[in-house]
Amino acid sequence: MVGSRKRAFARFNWLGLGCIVAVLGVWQLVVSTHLISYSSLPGPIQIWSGFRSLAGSGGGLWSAVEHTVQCVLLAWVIGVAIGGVAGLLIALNPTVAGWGNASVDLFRSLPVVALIPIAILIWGTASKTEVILGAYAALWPMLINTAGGVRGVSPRLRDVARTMELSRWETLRKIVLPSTGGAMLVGARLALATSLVICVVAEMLGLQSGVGNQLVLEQGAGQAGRTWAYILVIGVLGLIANAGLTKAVRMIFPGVSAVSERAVQ
Amino acid sequence: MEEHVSANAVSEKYVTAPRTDAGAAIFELEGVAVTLPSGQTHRQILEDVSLRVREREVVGVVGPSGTGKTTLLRVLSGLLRPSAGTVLLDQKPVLAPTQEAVTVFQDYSSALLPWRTVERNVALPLEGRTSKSERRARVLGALEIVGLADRRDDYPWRLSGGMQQRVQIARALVLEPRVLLMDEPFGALDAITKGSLHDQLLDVQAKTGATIVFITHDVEEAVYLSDRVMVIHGSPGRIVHEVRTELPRPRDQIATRDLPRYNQVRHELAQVLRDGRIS
Repeated sequence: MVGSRKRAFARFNWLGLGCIVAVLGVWQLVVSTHLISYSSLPGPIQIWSGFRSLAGSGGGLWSAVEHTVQCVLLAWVIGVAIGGVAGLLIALNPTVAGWGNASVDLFRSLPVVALIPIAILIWGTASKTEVILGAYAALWPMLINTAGGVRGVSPRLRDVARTMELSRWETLRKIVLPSTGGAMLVGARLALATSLVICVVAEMLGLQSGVGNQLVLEQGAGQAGRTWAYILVIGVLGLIANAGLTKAVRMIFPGVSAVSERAVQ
Repeated sequence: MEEHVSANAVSEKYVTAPRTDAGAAIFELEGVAVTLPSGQTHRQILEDVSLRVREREVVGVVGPSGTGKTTLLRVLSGLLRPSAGTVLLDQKPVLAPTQEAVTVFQDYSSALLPWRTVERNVALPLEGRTSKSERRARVLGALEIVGLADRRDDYPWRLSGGMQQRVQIARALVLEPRVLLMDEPFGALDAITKGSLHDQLLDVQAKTGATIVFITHDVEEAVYLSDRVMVIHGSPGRIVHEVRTELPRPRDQIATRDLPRYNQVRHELAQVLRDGRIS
């Protein structure tokens, strides 16, 4: 135990942490000495106190975070499921590809952000709108990566599947899906980041709850410290989402992650 | 088999003796031609290939690169339908790959599934077709034949190239095929590994009685392993020469290669490969 703790200690990126601390220090110094003084750029200490007032009872931070996290996760699950299936269909079925490829190219080049006002007009300012937008945004990276991954399955493995007389379903389950796994995970990670961004922007542009909405409210109230606190909270949410997903994949699919980590060894 | 031990005695006795244990024809190709699309046009890869492989025979196909060796093997395996001619496996037309004739590919690292352990790689073709206990027994049997039973829980990419190729051979053997088709099976391996795999392959062949058709660009390998060597040459490729090695079995890395007949066959093949014919 002591040994492993020691090793974890040694492996921790102390230099990286030191660098962040140094940047915060310089930032605080520059603000405190009025070298740079904008009312919208408080120092870290003010941001921290803004965060503490938000995190305290009645601050509204946690309910906003809860709302955003729920919407993002739901949107992500829906988007990844639809995008994954659509990506598989497009890559595996020439008919679907013929019908779908042009639409995929067209729709994914429409910026999702530009669709937010229209979505709000159609579905109102309820959470439903946010989930739909987030799912729509998450769909594309998942679809593109899945389809690309399937097309990237080595022709040799297809030969192997044929020589072993695997059925179409067996080939999909035992050859195509596992060898596309890596690309699908990349797609899922991108999808999570994208749906977080879109959900927050949707909250900023008119929805009545969530961290994006709170951020805009604090900005309107001239609360620079609290506004910054929300910005950092959103950043931390992104970090947690990414790290959590990586860890979950390692636990659920040890085979796939062993393969993708083989390059490191 | 004892009388085979002395190499010289063997060479006297077997120089002209055909192998007696090779049986009826298992593969019959008649007038096979393959044309494949290449860019805007079509390119003919094989032309008028007719050949016959008998049961339990080991047949080597040598030829320079680009003469359609791999294409020929894909036709035999059923992965590729010829544009003309007939391919019969056990008197039935070959229309798609069957488990009667299983291919071992040259690029073992991309032919094995990296997310499956050695045991589960070998089990792949049996899944859903046999009971769990039978599958386990057959997989272990196949791994024992290639000497990898103790590495069954490893991922293939943890193994050396030679071991990975043996895993692929085990995956083919687990189907108990009548024919093993091998596309430059040892091409990517070093000389020492190659030599020991040659002997293991011949050992496997003796144990299982499988017919083997393999492709190589290595003349020595072809002579050492085969009962019969065919030379494929030209563009489009056609079979320009065929020679019975008439070397005794079991073969021996040192004694067999010292036989006069070994060198005779080697010379003959080298000449055909250089000139495209016997001069």
